[in-house]
Amino acid sequence: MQKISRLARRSPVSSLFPNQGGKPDWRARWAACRRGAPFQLGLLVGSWYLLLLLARWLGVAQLTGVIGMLALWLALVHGWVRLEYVRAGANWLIAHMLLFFIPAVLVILDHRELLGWTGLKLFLIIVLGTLAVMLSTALSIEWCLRLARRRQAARRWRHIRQQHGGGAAQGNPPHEGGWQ
Amino acid sequence: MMGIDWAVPLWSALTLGVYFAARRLYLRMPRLWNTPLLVAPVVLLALMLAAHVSYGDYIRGTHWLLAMLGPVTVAFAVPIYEQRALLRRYWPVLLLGALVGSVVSLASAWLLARFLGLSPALQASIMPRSVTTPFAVTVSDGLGGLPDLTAALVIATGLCGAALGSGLLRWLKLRSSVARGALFGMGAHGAGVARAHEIGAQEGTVAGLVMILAGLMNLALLPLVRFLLRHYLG
Repeated sequence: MQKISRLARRSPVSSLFPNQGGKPDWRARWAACRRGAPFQLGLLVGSWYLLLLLARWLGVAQLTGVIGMLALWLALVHGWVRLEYVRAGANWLIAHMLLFFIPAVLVILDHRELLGWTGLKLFLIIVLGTLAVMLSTALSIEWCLRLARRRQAARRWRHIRQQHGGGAAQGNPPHEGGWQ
Repeated sequence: MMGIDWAVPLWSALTLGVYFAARRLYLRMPRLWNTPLLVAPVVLLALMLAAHVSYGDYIRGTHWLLAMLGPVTVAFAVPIYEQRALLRRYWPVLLLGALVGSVVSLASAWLLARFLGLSPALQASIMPRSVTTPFAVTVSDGLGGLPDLTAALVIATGLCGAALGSGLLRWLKLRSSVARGALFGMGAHGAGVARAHEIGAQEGTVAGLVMILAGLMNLALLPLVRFLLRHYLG
């Protein structure tokens, strides 16, 4: 996350004025502006807002973010939008995501009951539930990958055996490599 | 004659100021307990209690910050696009992990909340706690929960999960970096992604992808969960 934010902070305030002294090169300024986080941020928020109005009109306002994400992803895949024209703004938003959570945390001011018994129960649910989620997710992926790896190794081993007519088949199966 | 609502500039400026100060502190001294997500709310809470301001007044001034989670969701398209090689290679297992994790998270929260006798609104609010806020708020709203409260619970999950995950990783000894990253992305969303980036680049990338996939998965499971709750489990 820190790397992202450092990239995002390289906003081109100084590069807005590339050739000082001479005639202002408007095209260079415009190009630098488009690559900067503030301009891209405005563009992202602006297009999100337009999409929100459209989604509200269609009655699916809750899905605006997801629809926008799919649309931007499609646009990037098809080359309608170049990565460098959204990257700085998007990375800034993601790096500072915590900021947008803060107003939500303060809701405990309206839910004082969370500081008592109910809060303890919720905390218990969060801890136990999160442990269950982490264990099941990590182990299912680990076992799945291990199975795939083993199958692949066995297939490769059979292949080698066939090619070398049993000559190479005396040793142990090839060692399963690391997991990178 | 329209009066100016002073709550907007005042509380927005205070929130932004406190956040950036807390962030600077964290960058200088990165510890789990002084994350901006803990320090900034505590400072703001103290200010609000001192000035006798209610949450209603505060949120009237800062609601636009919460709304910015919409553009954040849109922005997730960029890392997904940038990591397309990883996604193309591992999408079946990542999808499997997101599915297993989402089902376990919804089921465990529902079971535990019922067992502990929480109100239906609280049950619905805590069910989508494992996914990143923009998605969780949408799911909570769809289940009849309180979106504000869900956001707070999601954040509590992120903070707990980032701490729990490190201990769990030491104990589990996972061989694949994909599983290590997925553990953090599924269990602790944003805070977990930050933690996974500290462990390794691939772990961080996987965590980010799984976090987004989990959000989409929860959203996809929403109609099914709503149906089950209404007809069988309610």
